[in-house]
Amino acid sequence: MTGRAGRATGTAVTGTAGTGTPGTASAVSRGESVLVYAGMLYRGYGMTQMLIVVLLSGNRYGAWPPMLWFTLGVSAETVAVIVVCVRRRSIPVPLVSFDVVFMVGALFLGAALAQSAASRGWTDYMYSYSLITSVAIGFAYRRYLLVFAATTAIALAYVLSDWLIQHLAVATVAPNALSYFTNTAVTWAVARYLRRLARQIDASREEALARAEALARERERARHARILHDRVLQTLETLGRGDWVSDPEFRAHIAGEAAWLRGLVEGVHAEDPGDLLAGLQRLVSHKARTGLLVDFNSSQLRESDEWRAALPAPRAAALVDAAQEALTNVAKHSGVSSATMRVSVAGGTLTVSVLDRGCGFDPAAVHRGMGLAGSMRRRMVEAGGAAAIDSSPGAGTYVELTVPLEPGRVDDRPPDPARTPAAD
Amino acid sequence: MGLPPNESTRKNVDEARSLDTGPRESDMIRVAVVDDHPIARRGIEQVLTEAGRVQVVASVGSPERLAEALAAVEPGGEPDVVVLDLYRDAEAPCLPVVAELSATTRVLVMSASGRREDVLGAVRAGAAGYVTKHADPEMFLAAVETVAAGGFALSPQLADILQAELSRVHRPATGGARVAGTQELSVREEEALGLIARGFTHAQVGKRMGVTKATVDTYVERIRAKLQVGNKAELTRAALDRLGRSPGS
Repeated sequence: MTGRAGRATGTAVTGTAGTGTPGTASAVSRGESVLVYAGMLYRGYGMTQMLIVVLLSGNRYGAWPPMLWFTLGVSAETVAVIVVCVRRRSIPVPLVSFDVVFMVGALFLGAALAQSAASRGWTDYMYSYSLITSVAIGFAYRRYLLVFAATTAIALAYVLSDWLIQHLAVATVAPNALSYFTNTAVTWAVARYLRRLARQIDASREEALARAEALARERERARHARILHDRVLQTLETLGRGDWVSDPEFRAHIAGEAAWLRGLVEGVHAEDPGDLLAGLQRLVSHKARTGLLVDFNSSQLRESDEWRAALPAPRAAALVDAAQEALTNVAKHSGVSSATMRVSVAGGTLTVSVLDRGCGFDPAAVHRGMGLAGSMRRRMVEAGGAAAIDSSPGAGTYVELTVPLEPGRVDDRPPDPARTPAAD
Repeated sequence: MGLPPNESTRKNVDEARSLDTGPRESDMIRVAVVDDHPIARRGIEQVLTEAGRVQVVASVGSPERLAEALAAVEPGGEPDVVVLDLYRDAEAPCLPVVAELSATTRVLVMSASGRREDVLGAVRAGAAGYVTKHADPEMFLAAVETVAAGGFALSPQLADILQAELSRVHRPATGGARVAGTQELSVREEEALGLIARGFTHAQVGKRMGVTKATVDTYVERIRAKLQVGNKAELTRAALDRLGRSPGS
């Protein structure tokens, strides 16, 4: 019996796997459908077998009304269970629990009726029926403890009914009872594997969908960025620079908007308060509004995210503050209206440089040079970094701000609001 | 606009030039501008002509129009430099155009955008330089002069992009494909590249590195050679593939 049950289980699962509805249904719901079909085919098969035995056995069972009515009653319960499960596309746990109780009762009643009907022949056909229908126990319960308990109830009912009512030796029926456990253990394991697989399929499909969506969004964003770059941005930048717009204030405003748009389309999220690139980009926009055009070179940092984790927020804020000071000095003192700012990483050090080609100054002359150097240096040293200023009259001014990166460090402190660069 | 000056203008210019010490027309750099954006084109022309060292011999909206304009130019009047907008209206950069024009003239690529692959692709297709459209007018002019003299105009923006590419090469763990055929630079070349990306002129870079400007020029030429060493046929095919994917653009 064990061998037959095991083989039948395999056949049922592979035989019905293809009947799950293909298409948009999730793998989980399709898996449940497969289990429903497998379990209910077993039930239908068990019921048919039982009906054949009773109805075609001639006078032995079929002619005796109590036996006939009992068999039809059990069949009606099976049909009801099949209808409910197929309609719900799942095997409800309460229904199976009820079915187990029903089966326990039916085993005793069937044994008693069979005992009265005839003393020879296949007296315990209920055994075969209960064994076949028990596969649903493994399908329904998620925890093996419950599967085991329900199986034990049915196995005990079978053993006790045969022993007490049919007076068979326990040693004869006990090995048969083991088949219940084999059946339910196999179906429980198969169902569990199927469900887990289905969940994994759903999860990976969801992930694939999410990735495809993200990719599509990114492509769309890149396309929009390109359009903005090539059409709107260059018009704005040209207008912000040339003399087509005569009002200098309005021209500066256009230049500022252009710088903001450039930051946006280049993927620097200017709204992120703690981000170094965003902070520097804000400076560029702000300076453009006041008439200083800053070329901002940041390819290296834009293409990698590694440095972010290694740059504590206070250091990023210090860099932005010091860079702001450097740019303000260019605007005030250099006599030129453009500067190049660059940010780069090399050898565990992050560097922000600001260069102008203006009048420069003599660093030895305290009146201006030391003042600005001192303030910028203080700001950088406080944050664990350094500032270097290189200038001479007529040769422009070069400011280099450096901070060490902290590899492996993830800074989860929120940025200090007082240190967030001013947006004005 | 877009055509060489006629005889009388030219004579006037010659007479005017011969009176003062300004450069004569033959010393002027002849530049053709290709950009489908009229306002940007006007801006470029203005920047170029303001300095008085450059003469815009053609200013057109597309490479096709450039061919027409050049066909009308007298012998000897061909542009020394073609300033080419890399993107025009298309989704993809016009790398095949860069390759085609580079075969006969010097191309200074200009773009509002600075996508690494496209900029590198343009240089590898033979472009003699790359400037962004928001470049400082002086830098832009300097780039045109460098290219006209046969040099490689390595703007701070381009240097920045190149160095970002190089740091990816040095740190392959960061992911991202290295541009095929790109050779690694020497430490000195990379140092020069970093300083140029900060905005220093070649002379300033030389001073900082303790070498002459000529040495810096050599570094820059070597960087260019290493970039352009890749298989040109392969690149052109890739460029054509890209165009083929968006027919009509």
